[in-house]
Amino acid sequence: MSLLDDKPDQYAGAAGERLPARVGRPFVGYELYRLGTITCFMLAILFFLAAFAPPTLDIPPPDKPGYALPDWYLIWTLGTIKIVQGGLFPTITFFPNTPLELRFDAKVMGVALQGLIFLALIILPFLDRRHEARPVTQPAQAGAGVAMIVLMVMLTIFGIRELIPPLTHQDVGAFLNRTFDPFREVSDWLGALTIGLPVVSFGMTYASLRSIQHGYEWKLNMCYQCGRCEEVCPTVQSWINPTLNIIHHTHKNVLDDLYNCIACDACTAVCPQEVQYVDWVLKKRREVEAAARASQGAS
Amino acid sequence: MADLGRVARLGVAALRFPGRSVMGWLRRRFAIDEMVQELQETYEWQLPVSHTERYQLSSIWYWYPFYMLGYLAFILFIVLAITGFYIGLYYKPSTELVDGEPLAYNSIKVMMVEVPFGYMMRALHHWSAHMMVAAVSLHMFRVYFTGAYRKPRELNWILGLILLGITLFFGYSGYLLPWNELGWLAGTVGLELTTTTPYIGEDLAKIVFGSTVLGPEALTRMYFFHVFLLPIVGVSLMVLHIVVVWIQGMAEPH
Repeated sequence: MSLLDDKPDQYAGAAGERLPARVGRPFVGYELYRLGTITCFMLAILFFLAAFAPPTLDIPPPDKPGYALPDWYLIWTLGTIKIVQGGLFPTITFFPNTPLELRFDAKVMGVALQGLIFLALIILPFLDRRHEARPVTQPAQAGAGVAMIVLMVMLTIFGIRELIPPLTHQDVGAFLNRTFDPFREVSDWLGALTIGLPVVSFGMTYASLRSIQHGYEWKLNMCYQCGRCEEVCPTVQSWINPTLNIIHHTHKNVLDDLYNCIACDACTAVCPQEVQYVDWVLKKRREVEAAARASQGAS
Repeated sequence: MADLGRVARLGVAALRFPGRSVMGWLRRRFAIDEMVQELQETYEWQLPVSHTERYQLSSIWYWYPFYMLGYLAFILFIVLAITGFYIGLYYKPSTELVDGEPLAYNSIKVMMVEVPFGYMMRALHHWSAHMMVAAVSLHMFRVYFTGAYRKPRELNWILGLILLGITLFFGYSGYLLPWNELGWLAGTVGLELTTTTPYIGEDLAKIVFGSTVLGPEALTRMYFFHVFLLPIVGVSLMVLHIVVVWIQGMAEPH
């Protein structure tokens, strides 16, 4: 009756034994300590901040204009409106002179953009039908995520551009009420950066993740140190060479003694991630021998 | 047989709460035996086994902090609830002017200066709010990047998005409550954005802000949302979110 039907018989242990009714770590002896530690650290940081950086109270509002800013996590909403007001979208009026008249101007478009972002997030799991995976195995998605985060940051900066002295080029009123001029707006470097930097970051993330998606190291990183290979490796178990340490190699990047592996593939047979250790050992032996031949031939 | 087990478990409950004790008194009046048995069955219900449990792993996993963020958001909410309870005892949601200052603003000033630990509680409340928004956002990024929103966790992802919206609205409504210049102007911007919604803008503004101009109705409504409606909805959805994770298990990308 498992909800995760791609993990059959998950109450069998890895060696086929029946796991006890209550698996996992005890709540009182382990989980409470873990949660308590995290809680204490968090409270310590909060008390520190509360003591040394308390919130202020400004003067109450008389009828004077000022520059209104919401909290940092909402400034991107200002950015969406301003960047649309940057002139990329002219005003469109749907159904003019009827009761359904809808003036789709820059402000409405900016608000619609925020809704669009939320909508994209909501339908995401229904479009993406894959299995959960590490980011490095899905570079396009990781790149899109990084691009989104960069976009949010850039929209935040764009939302407060008037407050950043080097970026201020006119007062707020004139900025919000300026006329549509696509050539001037596109040449606005901050606007171009707000749109361009996410694209660049997507490319960089995608390229860097793709570039490590090959080679034995790539497959070797799937290992999560369950230790089954060590239990079945005849070389390790017979103490001929206990330094043939498959897991040690994975995480310390130390070359094992290459010539003690008997290439029996017992490790791959038990590996939950099907790491092909023998292939790697044989390949490395060929490389070493080729290098030795080359240096012999040279001399 | 299941029945034998049930009877045995009921017997255990009966043994644990003997007849001549306080618990025995309650047992004779309320269905405590059945409740205890339900709890035992729930506790013993086998949840999905994680890789850690199945393989008895004990290595240091350096991505671990990213998997603490959901819990962090939850305890920050608890801190917010406790500190919010304390400052809520002294806050007055009124725009009436007292010595030239709105009463809301004045009550916060009084709370910071005269109320015991008021300064600390308000500061904790302020910082926990910022930390909670950061924690839920980072939690969302972690879930996105590890693909933990995919089957069978789609609804939990949507639940999380709703909770994100609730958290942001919590922050926004709390921001308005001091009724100082910053809050008032942020409220004006929010009201303006709400009224730009096509067709339903004005009605939406009346629902969310109480009227189409920023005034006492807006403060009352924001206070009500912040202190009653959002906590009830937020806590229920948070509990549901955590229960769904408990049922489905953590996603383990590899």
